[in-house]
Order: sequence, then structure tokens, then C-alpha cells
Amino acid sequence: MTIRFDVAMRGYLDVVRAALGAELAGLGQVVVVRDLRGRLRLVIEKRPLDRTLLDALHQRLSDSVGAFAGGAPLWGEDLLAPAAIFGAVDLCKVDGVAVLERTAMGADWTRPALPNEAPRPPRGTLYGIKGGVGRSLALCVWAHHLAKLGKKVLVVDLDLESPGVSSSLLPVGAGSSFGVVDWLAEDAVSQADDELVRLMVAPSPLADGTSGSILVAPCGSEPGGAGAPESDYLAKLSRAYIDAPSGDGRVVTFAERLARMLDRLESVHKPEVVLLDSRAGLHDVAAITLTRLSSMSFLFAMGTAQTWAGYRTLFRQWQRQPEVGKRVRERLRIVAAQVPETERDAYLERFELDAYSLFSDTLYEQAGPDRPEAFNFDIESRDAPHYRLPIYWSRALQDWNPLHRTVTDGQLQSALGEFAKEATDLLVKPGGDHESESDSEGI
Amino acid sequence: MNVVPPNFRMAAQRTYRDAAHLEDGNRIANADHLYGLAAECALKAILVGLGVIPPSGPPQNSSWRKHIDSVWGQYSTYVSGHHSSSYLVTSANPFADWAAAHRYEDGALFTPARLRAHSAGALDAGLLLEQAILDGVVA
Repeated sequence: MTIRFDVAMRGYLDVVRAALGAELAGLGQVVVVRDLRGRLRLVIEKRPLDRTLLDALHQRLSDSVGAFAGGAPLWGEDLLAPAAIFGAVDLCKVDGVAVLERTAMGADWTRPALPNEAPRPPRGTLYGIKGGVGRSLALCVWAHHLAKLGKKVLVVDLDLESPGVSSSLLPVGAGSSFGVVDWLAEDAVSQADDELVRLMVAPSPLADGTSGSILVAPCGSEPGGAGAPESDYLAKLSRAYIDAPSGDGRVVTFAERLARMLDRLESVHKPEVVLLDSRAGLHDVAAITLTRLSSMSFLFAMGTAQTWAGYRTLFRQWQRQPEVGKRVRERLRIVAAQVPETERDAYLERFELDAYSLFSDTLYEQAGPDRPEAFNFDIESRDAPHYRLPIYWSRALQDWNPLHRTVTDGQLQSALGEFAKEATDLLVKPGGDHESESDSEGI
Repeated sequence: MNVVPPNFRMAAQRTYRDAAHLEDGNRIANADHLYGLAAECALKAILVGLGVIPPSGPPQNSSWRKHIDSVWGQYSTYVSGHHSSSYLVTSANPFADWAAAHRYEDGALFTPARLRAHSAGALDAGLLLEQAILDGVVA
């Protein structure tokens, strides 16, 4: 029978786990490396004096994975770069076995948080496992809400393949000279200077008349705009995700580059709140923003089976790597996007149950009298990550254009008022000067 | 003694040219040896470009002094990251029967068939290096 990808990994780990107390005992660190093609191989720190037992183990391992066999074990003393195996940042434990995944993308879902220049403002990420859930609308309304509270808000559009929020916030002709893809293109040749960072943002007129401001860093410069009339967006986008050498020759990952871009934007423009519009789906940009950059991530969800299945895939990944899951889980909040106009209570009741199941099956810990510190919440707990911030869909919102005010403040308030206020409370810690005004304010 | 930082890219290209020159002159034994060194340097240059091996500094650590018979087989355990899939080598190690110490052997070991296999392996590694240079991964 053909041994498929998932079965291969499980079978291989079973054999290795059993061998850790037998053939592999006393041989130092043992790492299972799964290479780019999914092939599995053992790397063992110390070479045994008698290879017979290990040869037999290698044969059993190869038999257990079929085409995913990655060759004979490697020994620590033969390694060209032992630190790249035994000290790798991506090294993780899977059911008691050290595993190193070599991947072409997606590695950031399970990497540690990136260091940032301190102090930095709170960063909120708006994310949907699936697109088309009203993320951009919510972001615009929330940014406006924050501006009315007197905040200086920086909105960064990271939905590079499908830019949206910046065109909602910036009228034609008022775009910036450069955008995120420009910063990444210039950084690849070490010239993403502060002059570029200054010209990367444009003020949104949506904040006119408020005591705050909204600065927008779009994905790219405005097509045909004054700043860069010959802007070739696709040429820059197609190079955006590369890992690039730094000045000292060290290779800097895309995630580190993105973190540095945010640091520079925050350092130059000094916002009080940063809102990141993340790419939807299991995309690398989402992995980096949710797992490594964000103070609080708002997970947009529709009450559909596909949505919950998508989030479950992601949460299970974090569940398998508890050190990452523990760091991420406290910074998540579910958003009930587009709550329908009819039968809202029934919809929300079902939604709450599904959201609770998602978290309790994956990221929540078993609670009990002997485990008072367990990360666990009641289904009704309003402080819990699974407890939804609601956005009430209405027909009027479909025609919404923030710059033309096609929807009344009252309509926006009833649809998104609760979301904007609660999201603000979660991201911008209460106690600030402006928070108490938010109840009575329109948005 | 001043230790010059390695330049695996230059070493790979130079050594490959010299190996081909020796092969043209039917100097099979030393051609075979140099093809092994050329492939080793090509793969090490790519690993420097991908950030696995530090770019500067002397190779004081003995772990750097691995030759192609070992480097080819372990190379794929290091390669990862965006676009890295362009730089994979074949799983079968064409240099499994190559050893640096063979340069001390008498000539009986060095057959034309063996040389062809090593020359093809060195060419594969050299083409990967060229690709990495053109892609801007290797400086």
C-alpha cells in the first residue's frame, strides 16, 4: 500500500519515539528532519561505536515511510553546520520527538515573536481565514472611531495580492508616493531609508473633523499618481517575499524585514495605534502578523462549517506546538462578521457555541480544582478569546464608501459600534484619557 | 598567520574550470579529485547564500571541512525558505564513492565511468550555483 505524507510522518515518529529509550539512548540530541520534499531523515549527535543496531533502525524507519525515506542517518560530527540542525529556531517537539521542518513557506506560523524596537504602539491585526467578510469596512470604521477619540492611527495594508483598505481610505489623487511593496523592493538592496518611509504614508480625509488622524501606508503607490508614474506593482510584488541579505551578508527573513518596516513606520510617524490589514487564509503575511507582530488579532468569522474548519486547521498547528500556542492564544479575539439581519439571536447562539468548541478543542487547557491557572473560560465569559465581537450586517453597508459617507452615522453605529468600542478597549488598554467618551460617541 | 575568509563561489568556479581542463587533457585522476572539490564549493556557496553558513570569518570550525561525499547527502537537510526549492539536488549522491583521500591512491581507481558520474554531479552543482547567482541569492 502506498504510504502517504501524513501516514509517513506518524509512522516515522512512532518508530523514533520507541527507539529513544533503546537504540538511540545515550547518543545525544536526535532530530527528525523533514526536508522540502517531505522526506524524513534522522540526525544524531553522537555516532555509536557499534552501528549494527542503528542500521537495523534505519531499515525499519525506511520501511515505515516508503517514498518519503530521506536517506541514512547523519551524524553530528559529519555535519557541515550542526547549529543549523541542533540549534535551529524551527526545532520543535512533536509528541516527545524533536522535529525540524524545512519548508518553502509558512514557517512563521510556529516561530517565536519578533523583537521590536521599544516602545511601540499597540498593533491590532484584522484577519479572516476566508476573505470577503467585511474586514476592510470594519477596519475603516474602527480607524475612524479611534480618530474621534483623538488617536493618531496608522493603517498598514498588508493584503498585497488584493489591496483594498487603502483605496477605501484614500481618495483618487491623494495616495502616497510609495507603499509596502516599494519598501520591500528598496530594502532588498539596503536602501529603504527614512525618506522612503516618510513618503510611504498619506493622511486619510476620513479623519477630517475629528481630533485625531488616520495615516495610511498602502500596498503600493497610487497607479499613475504623481509620486511614481511608472510604478510596476507586479514586478515588486513578485519579489516582495524574498529573504534578503543584510548589509553584513546575513540573510534576513521576510518576517524580519516586515518587522523592521513596521518599526521604521512607527519610529518616523509616531502613531498611537497601528492597525494591520492582513492577507486572508493560511498565507505567510498572516502567519507573521498573527504570530509574530501583533498585540491583538481579531479573527473574522462567518458561522459556516468552512470557516470553523479553516480556523481549526490553524489552531491545531498551534496546539501541536504549545510554546507558540501559549503565546498566541491570549492575543486572539473572534469577530462575528456579518451577523445576518434576521434571526440574530439564534445565529449568535450557534456562533458562540461553534467558537467555544473551536477554542476548547484546541487552545484551551483542561480546567480543574488542581489547575487554577489553566487557560480556560466558560462559554459565557465575555473576556474569553472565543467570545465574539459582533458586526451586524445590513443591506445599507453593501454600498458603503467611507469617503462619500453613503451610509449614515446611525447605520454605521448600529452595525459596527459595538465592535469598534470593544476592539478599542481590548487593544488600547483602558485608562487612556479618551476611552470614557466612546459610549456616547457615534463612529 | 592571516586567515582569508573563504569565497566558495570563486573556488567552485575556478576548480570546475581546472577540472574540465584536466579532463580534456586526459588527466583523469586529478580531474576526478577537482570535480569533487568544485561540487563541494558550489553547494557550500549556496548554503552561505541561504544563510545556513555564516558569510564571513575563517573556517576555524572543523565542521566546515567536510567534503562532497558528505556534503551532498546532508545538503537537503538545510535548505528551506522562500524560493529555496529551486536549489535542491538529486537524492542519489553521485559522490558517494568519492573521497578526498583518493588523491593518494594509485591510478587504478579512476575509471572513465567514474569520472563521467563525478563530472555530471559537479556540473549539476555548478548549474545550481549559477542559478543562485542569477537569482541574487549568492553574491
